[in-house]
Amino acid sequence: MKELSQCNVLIVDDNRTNVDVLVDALDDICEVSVAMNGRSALNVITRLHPDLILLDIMMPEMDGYEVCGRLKKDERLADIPVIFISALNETIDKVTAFAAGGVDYVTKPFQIEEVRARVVTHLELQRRKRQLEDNLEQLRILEKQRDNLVHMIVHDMRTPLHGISGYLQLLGLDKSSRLSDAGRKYVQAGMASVKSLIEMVSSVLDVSRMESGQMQVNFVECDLIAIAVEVIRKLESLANGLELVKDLPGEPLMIIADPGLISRAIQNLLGNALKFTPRGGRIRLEIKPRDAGVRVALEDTGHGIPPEYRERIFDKFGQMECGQRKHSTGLGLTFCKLVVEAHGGIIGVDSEVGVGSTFWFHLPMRPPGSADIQLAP
Amino acid sequence: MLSGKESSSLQEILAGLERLIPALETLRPRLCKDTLRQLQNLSWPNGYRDTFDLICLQVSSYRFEEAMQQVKRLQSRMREDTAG
Repeated sequence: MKELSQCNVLIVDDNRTNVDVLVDALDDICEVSVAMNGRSALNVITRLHPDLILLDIMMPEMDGYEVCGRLKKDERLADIPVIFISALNETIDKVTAFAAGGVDYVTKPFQIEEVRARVVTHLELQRRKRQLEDNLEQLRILEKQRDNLVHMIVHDMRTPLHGISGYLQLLGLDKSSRLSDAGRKYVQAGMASVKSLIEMVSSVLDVSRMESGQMQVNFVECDLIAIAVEVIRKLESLANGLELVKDLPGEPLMIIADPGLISRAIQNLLGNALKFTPRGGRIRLEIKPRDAGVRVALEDTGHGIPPEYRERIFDKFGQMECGQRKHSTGLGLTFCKLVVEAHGGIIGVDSEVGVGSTFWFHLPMRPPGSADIQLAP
Repeated sequence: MLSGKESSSLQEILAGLERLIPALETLRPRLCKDTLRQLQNLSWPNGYRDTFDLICLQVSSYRFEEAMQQVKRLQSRMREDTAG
């Protein structure tokens, strides 16, 4: 991190006596530059990118408000803090200065010690802000590297997994093999585990493709109710000891969406509800038109999600745990979020510990970028 | 034509003026004054001193752009004289 003495403060003031005093006051704290008018200041700011600007208001040609306004319009320079320093001491002057983008205001005649203290404070804040920005950038780079590594490993895992799956199938099918009943059970258990691993690998690759924009989203007109009914049909055999309630409109609900992705999103949400709702519980799937779009909600009577986990539950690799029980294994909800967002929608969860959760998403009838696809009247 | 000793001093002055340019470009009074102080201690040949004094005056009143123009002019003159 840059030392305070390496920071640069630009003084912009047309009064030489004021500038002399300010230069003397700040010279031992940091590097000081001086511009005697707004035009010269704007010229040097682009090259110098100072850490702080002390800006007079009343100057000929271009006043301090205009200098600050121009600065704040330039996104490369907008983050440079500006302290106004002026003989104007009415409240309206100070309010105008803050509205123009100033971070502080010092009235003339000023006390040297006060100016020094304010300059040091704002330089410190600016230094820490830049440090945080650098750290964030570093984290983004590391996250990207981690994702690339995970993607590479997971991608390479697919081939051997399919190999294992194939050989296990052959072993199970081979009538002439001398496998005992126990052996056949082990083969079946092995195949189930491999299938589960292949699904995990596919999830990681899907999320990675969605994030990088490499997964194609094919918008077509489709019936959301038919999609939901098909998902329920596939999964209802897993609802062992659970009450599965469908609260769906009696007629088709046509939207523009990618039916494959929406189906998988509902499948993930319903699969989670089935997995985490204790026997004797109830799961309710509700689909309703709402706010020029459609709302899909999956309500369960599971354990509920503690508030501290709700924010992170859609995050990648966010594994939520409550006591001994896992609420998410990592990527299913992230995939749902990416799918919903790719459709211009929003996703969320309402939950109460000990009562249950409602995972919901809202989709527009027509996602952005699908203007050329017509909905049937 | 300048003598060998004067010519050598002229190179030093030119080098000092070159060091002054970044300080002027970044409008830094302290850095400018430090460099001007070093230049002040050099032996200036006749005919250049007035321009140098003008540069000092402009820097002390924070007129860095004008000072920069004088420095550029002074450098050109000195280079021409050195070559000639």
